[in-house]
Amino acid sequence: MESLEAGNWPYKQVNGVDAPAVGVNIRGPTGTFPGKDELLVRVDTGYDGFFLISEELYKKLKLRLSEMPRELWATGRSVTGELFILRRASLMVQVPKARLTLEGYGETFKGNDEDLLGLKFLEALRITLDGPRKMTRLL
Amino acid sequence: MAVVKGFVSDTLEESFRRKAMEKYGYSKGALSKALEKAIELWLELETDETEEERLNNEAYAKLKDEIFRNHAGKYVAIAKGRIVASGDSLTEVCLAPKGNVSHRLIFKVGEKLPRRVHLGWRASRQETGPTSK
Repeated sequence: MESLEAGNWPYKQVNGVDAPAVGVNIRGPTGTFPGKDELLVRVDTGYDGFFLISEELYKKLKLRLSEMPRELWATGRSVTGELFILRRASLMVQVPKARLTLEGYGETFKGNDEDLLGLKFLEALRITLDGPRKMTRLL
Repeated sequence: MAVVKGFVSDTLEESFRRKAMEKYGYSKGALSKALEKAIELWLELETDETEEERLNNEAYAKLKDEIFRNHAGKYVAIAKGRIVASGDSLTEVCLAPKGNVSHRLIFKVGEKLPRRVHLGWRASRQETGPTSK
């Protein structure tokens, strides 16, 4: 039995596919989400940014209360070449198992239902992927 | 299909034409495709803006020089069209707002953030209405 406390996270199943994930807590303008537990968020190295947030979570976290000026928003490009305007907001992400708090940003676009941790987030973390056991391990 | 007529500066027209050709090829319809995409993005940007959001962004544009002069490297919060907080960390500035505030700007002055982001394979648009407020 893997010790989940030691700094391991099980892969998260999304659309029937197991994917590497990291457990985080998000500190927004009105508090911490999800609070005592961790939110298991999929890691995606194809995404350049820090934290891509679904519209639903963006709303739940009330990130309109910590939004960046429009001139600091970005344009996102999907692999199919579609362009999206990304709303951006300041937030903090805690990785409790790594005892780490990062100041960063969350971004979303109209119609987004994915939560993803990207390359910018990964710059702060040392992890390995244990494919056979489907675990993300903290170093 | 509708025809849209208007006037833009020569430099804008030149850049637009060049970019459209790069993106959609030197063929008939390239300009129309680029124009349609430009209008879609503009509509997306404009239609979700609330009055408070507009006010805060206008205040940012107006106060930008002062903000960069007096608050370089700090986090600044703008609400109801004025600077309401400034501090060294996000924790100091990003407290729950007092009163009836529905929008607030919070940013680190001078922080360079990427303006173009690759979203990877996962990101795609689901058909929905306007961005939830």
